[in-house]
Amino acid sequence: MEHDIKYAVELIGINKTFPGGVQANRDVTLKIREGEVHGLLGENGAGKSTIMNILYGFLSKDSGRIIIRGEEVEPKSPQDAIDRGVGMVHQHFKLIPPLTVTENVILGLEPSSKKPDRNNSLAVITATLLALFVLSFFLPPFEFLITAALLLAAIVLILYPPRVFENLMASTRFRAAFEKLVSDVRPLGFDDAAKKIQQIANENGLAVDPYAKVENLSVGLQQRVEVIKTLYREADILILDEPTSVLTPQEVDELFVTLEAFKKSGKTIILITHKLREPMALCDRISVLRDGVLVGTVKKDETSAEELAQMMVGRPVVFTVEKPPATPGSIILNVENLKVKDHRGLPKVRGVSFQVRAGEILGIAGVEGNGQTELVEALVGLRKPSDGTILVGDIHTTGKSPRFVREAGVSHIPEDRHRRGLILPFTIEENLTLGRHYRPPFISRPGILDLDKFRSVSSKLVNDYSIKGGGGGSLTSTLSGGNQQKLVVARELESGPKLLVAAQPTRGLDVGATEFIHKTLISMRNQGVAILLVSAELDEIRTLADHIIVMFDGRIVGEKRPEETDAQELGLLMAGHLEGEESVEVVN
Amino acid sequence: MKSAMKRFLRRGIVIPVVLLVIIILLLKFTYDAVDDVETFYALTGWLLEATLQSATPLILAALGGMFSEKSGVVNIGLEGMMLIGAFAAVAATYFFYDPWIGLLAAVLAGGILAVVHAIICVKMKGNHIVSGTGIILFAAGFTTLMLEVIWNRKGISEQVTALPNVNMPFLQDIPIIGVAFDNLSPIVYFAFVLVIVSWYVMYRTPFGLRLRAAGEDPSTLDAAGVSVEKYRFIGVVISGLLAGLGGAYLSLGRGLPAFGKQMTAGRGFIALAALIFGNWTPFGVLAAGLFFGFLDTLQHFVGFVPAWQWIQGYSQFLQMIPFVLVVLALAGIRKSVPPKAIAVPYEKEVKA
Amino acid sequence: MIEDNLQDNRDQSDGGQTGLRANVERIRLNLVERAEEWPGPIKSIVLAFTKLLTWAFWKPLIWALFSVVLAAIISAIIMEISGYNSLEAFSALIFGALTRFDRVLFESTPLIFAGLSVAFVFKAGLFNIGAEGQLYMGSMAAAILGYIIPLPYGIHPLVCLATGALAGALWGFLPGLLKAYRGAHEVVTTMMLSYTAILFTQWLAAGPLKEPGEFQWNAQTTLILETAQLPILWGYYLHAGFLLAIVCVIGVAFVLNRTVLGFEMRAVGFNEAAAETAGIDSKKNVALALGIGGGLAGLAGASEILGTHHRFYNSWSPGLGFEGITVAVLGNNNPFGCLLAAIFFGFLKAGGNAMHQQAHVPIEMVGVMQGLVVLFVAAPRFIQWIADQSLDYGKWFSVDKIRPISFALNMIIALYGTYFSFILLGETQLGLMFIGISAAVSILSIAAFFMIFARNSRGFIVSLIASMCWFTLAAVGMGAGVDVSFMILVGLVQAVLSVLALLLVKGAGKSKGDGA
Repeated sequence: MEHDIKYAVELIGINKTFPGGVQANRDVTLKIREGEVHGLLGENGAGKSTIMNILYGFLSKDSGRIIIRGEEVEPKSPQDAIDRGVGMVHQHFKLIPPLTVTENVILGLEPSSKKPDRNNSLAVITATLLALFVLSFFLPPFEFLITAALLLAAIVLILYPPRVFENLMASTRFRAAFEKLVSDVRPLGFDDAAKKIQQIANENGLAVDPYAKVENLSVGLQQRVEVIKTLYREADILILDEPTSVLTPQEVDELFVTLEAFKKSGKTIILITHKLREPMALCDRISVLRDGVLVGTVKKDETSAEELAQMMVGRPVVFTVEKPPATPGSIILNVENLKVKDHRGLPKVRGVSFQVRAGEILGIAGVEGNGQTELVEALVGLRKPSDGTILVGDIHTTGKSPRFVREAGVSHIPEDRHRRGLILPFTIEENLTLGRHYRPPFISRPGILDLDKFRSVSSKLVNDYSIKGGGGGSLTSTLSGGNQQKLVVARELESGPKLLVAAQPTRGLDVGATEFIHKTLISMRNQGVAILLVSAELDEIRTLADHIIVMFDGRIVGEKRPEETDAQELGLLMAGHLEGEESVEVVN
Repeated sequence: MKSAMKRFLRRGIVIPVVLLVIIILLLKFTYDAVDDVETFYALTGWLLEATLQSATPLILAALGGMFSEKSGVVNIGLEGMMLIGAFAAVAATYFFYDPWIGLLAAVLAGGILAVVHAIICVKMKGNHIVSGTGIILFAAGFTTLMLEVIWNRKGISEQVTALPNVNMPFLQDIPIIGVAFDNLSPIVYFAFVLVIVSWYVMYRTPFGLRLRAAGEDPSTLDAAGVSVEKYRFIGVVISGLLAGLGGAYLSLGRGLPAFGKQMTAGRGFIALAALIFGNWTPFGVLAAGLFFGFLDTLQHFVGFVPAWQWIQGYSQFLQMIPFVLVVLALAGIRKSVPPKAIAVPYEKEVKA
Repeated sequence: MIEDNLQDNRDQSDGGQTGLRANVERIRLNLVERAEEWPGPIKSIVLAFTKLLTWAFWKPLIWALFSVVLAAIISAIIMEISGYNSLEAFSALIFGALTRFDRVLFESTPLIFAGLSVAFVFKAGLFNIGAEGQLYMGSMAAAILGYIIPLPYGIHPLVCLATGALAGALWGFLPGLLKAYRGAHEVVTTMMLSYTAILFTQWLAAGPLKEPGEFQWNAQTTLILETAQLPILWGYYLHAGFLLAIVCVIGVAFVLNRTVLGFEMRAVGFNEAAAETAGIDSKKNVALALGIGGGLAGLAGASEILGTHHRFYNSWSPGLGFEGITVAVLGNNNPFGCLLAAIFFGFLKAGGNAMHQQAHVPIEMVGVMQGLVVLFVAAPRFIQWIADQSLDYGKWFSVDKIRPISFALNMIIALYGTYFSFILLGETQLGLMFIGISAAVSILSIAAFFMIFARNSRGFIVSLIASMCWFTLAAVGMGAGVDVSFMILVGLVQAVLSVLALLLVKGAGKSKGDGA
């Protein structure tokens, strides 16, 4: 039975460790059948993108075999994969904003135009004539004639190589060498390429203007360009990395229609995602990765969303954290009608109001990219809101500097600990004092650091929070991810905050570290700290929060208590179904 | 490609128009000042000729810088590459009695220095600016050293055969300004042709597309299956070739055909300024190069008009203008869009 | 090919730690642990000592040393080709500098300041390549105050130095502000403002502030008053500016490591986003860093004027600000590293005079060496690669004898071919053909050397082609009537060796990278 199945791609025993020491794939064996839609499911950092980038030749593997349609390949660069019909749409689009759609699509596979386009010929002829004109004045007549003849011959060869040489060059090898030589400087057939792109677009219902600049296109259209890019290369094994993460629901529907059409035309599609809904809607088979290991491959018809979820997270979804009932105190954070724009000036938070009381955890649930990042940045002073007010206790912190907000009693666990949370080349001591370094007890005299205090405080914190992997003097970059996050938590809690803003505090952490951080958050709550928890993980929110608000498209679309609601209802809200609206589809 | 044409017109027209207005005003004031038609014509012709002469090395080096920076590698070593080009041109001419061989040697010498820069920046992922500094220091030391070794002289080399100047039959018949074209080095015309060729290569060939992609977003180019290193390497080497040619013009193309110690005198940096002010485009570079060349000429020009000779005491301020303009341009009076990934070494294996 | 191997080796070398390094690290950690229990002063001394045991301390030192050695080798080759005796030159340089150590310190004084200026700014993640302009501003300010107002001994130079530092600081602060608030890239703005400053001071010296006098044609200011001059410490040259430089080294080290300002600056330099999140005002720090860097460069100018030149004259600085970059780079942007690097360059400069007098090598050789050092430091991976490759050879040699030896012999002959062809490049009277082929041989030989060193068997084919070129060269040379026997000999040896190596490699089946 197994012998009859034709595989489009076989990945056997793939191992990959990044230079920093993160092991992204451990002995992963994955077989994708010809013509199927295969889902690759896993949490962030499970190694889904890594293994597909290895297949695509974008990353190198440490060991393992790659077989594409029965042929063993050793992809050194994406070109090797492209040559074998593999196309990939990356999560962060591989598009160059200042270039046009056409330029982006043909990059790397520029058409050798049989018929040079008019503009190009004009440019070349003008340049040639100019050159000849200049040459004619300082070369003797005879040499000038020879030079002119050579120059003209070269230009003709570059402009019309196939036509002139088709009959002359019987030897293909010679011709290939020649082609390679001139292909770089031969004029681009922009117009031909644009026509071909238009044609591909029309055939697949992916309308886009080939002459538009990519920077002027919406995200959805940019993704279309990415898809057209793979079609232009005549890929029939299509890898899509988190294609829906940036799309509006309508755009997602359109994408799914397109993918269905591709499937009908016999293409093999690999869909990387961390959302349960998508593979269940689209895929034939689904493989689940967890911490770089393949958990298993299942048929869609033989599984359920619950089973997939369990495979993904690897632990039964049970509440392990002891949580006494909350005793809310006075209002610590009061946000009124807050509006925030992102760096491009687009509104991301469109008027939200909420309060957090002392001794309670408010969870903000929502699919990433619905304004949570901008909301948090506005709360901690990293981004100026365009409208609205923020009150911490009775201090106005709207639009104030991060230091002002911190001094008002706000601590912040950033969502990206490498970019925002830690300074990796600093020592552990230095990172533990960062943000409080300018105040006593860390200064002995104004402006002068007290390094002994650095040392003593950090050795206490390293013990209290069981940060393992080095003393206070070692570099932070040598710590593991979990210990780095513990370091951030230790620092933020040690300043004795009134309000803690924790954004994705357990992202990418193992079970132990996650549990530790959950317990710490609860104990802080019990001590009367107000906590705002932003997380994309529904379970985390439901486990920890005393109140839940759901954000969608920059607005609050629902406010619930965890005991009053279930995952299904929250999921509906997160997907943008407003309360009271009839649910139109079953959400897992 | 109509939109490209429109864009070109819109963007490229500003600097030439400003330049034209300044020149017309200047000519009017000159006419008022000298009050003599014959002298005025002579001065005008001289102004144009000297502008072309001053602008040529700037344009060539800046074009070179464009190839390097568009591909994402900062090249502050242009100064050194020009210097070694100027030296190699004279040395090769001295040994082989043919300035054309000198020209070839200049281009090659600039290219070899650029290969060093490319190896450090592209292959070894070194710091572009440190490498450029090293190149400048090496070139300055090496050329002065060889000046002593070959000619046993300190300041300036022996004279060699100059490149034959050419006169342009049609251009030189134009009244008034025709004078400017009767005795110019062929390299001046090369520079203009190279601007057009560069534009063509940059915007109309796969090579140019890939080069620009390497400077804007190398990982995209990599994902398209094209080697980023290869195109960056070639970009840097082209910059050395062109800067070498610019250097050869300094020593063989104008004035005394000899090599002088430190003869580039900061022209590599002015070329860098022209590159930035020209917004990293060939025609922008042409316009900025001409403008800066014109400013350079102006300080000598005022010496010819008796009423203006006092300005010579302030010639440093004229020389400052290119540098100040670039600072102002970067501070935001003009939109300047450098290639996005400039000065960032491309590492493949870093997890995004 | 070469680059592929490079990539592989880098990946391997990053992961592995040698046994020695691990042992030292264990001892160090042990010491740190024990030191916690000891009384205050002993503890801090021991803790400071433990820093010397870290690889992070030795690595830049070893790299700098490697770069210097490589640069010296290439300089020696250049000298030999130019017809000088490199051994004589080097010994003259070293003895000359050692016997005149006051001169070494004197030459290094402005370099210390300039290097600190670049290094300090670099700690905040910025590049100050306009130290030259800041230095000119500082020197001009000091020169003006030096002759304009009479002040008592002792106070006068201090006032001048302070003003010089202030002028430099302002000139550095401007690009700092532009960077912080307008996003103008500091590499370009500092460079452009540097030229602006040089031209501006030039104008001052040639125009309004020119020394009066009917026959005074030079663009220079009036001599500063005696009260403003810095005292000479040692010998003829070394002035008190050197002491100030040492104070600045300690001061910069203190500011960077022990103050809030330095802490915040380093935070911004390493990770601006995280620093901002922690409540650090990155804009303020960026502007301040460039300002302080400018101040240090200004001090360089002021101390030179007050200590040595005693007046401002046009282009008095031979690119000191620019050399500051090289000092900072060689000193790994560490204040004490800068001190050592500056003394090293001062050593070269001071020794350069002796080299010129005794070995008749032009003093510009020093500039060439300086450039080469910087080029090698700029490419740490090159040195890393050479080190890795060499270690690899050691391992290979322990398992296999014949092939490593044949590789090594081929490398030696390729190197010799390079050297020999370089020398032939000087025989310009033999005509273009001869020189052209010599150039080709030298390039082929270099390529062959590196390819064989990278254990790429294609290098032998390149080597074979080079040997053919030797025969051609001999034929051309014979026509010109030179003694070509040696060329034929080199060609023969190279041909035989490369063919043998090819056979050996082919015989082993796998050609590339085996034994690794």
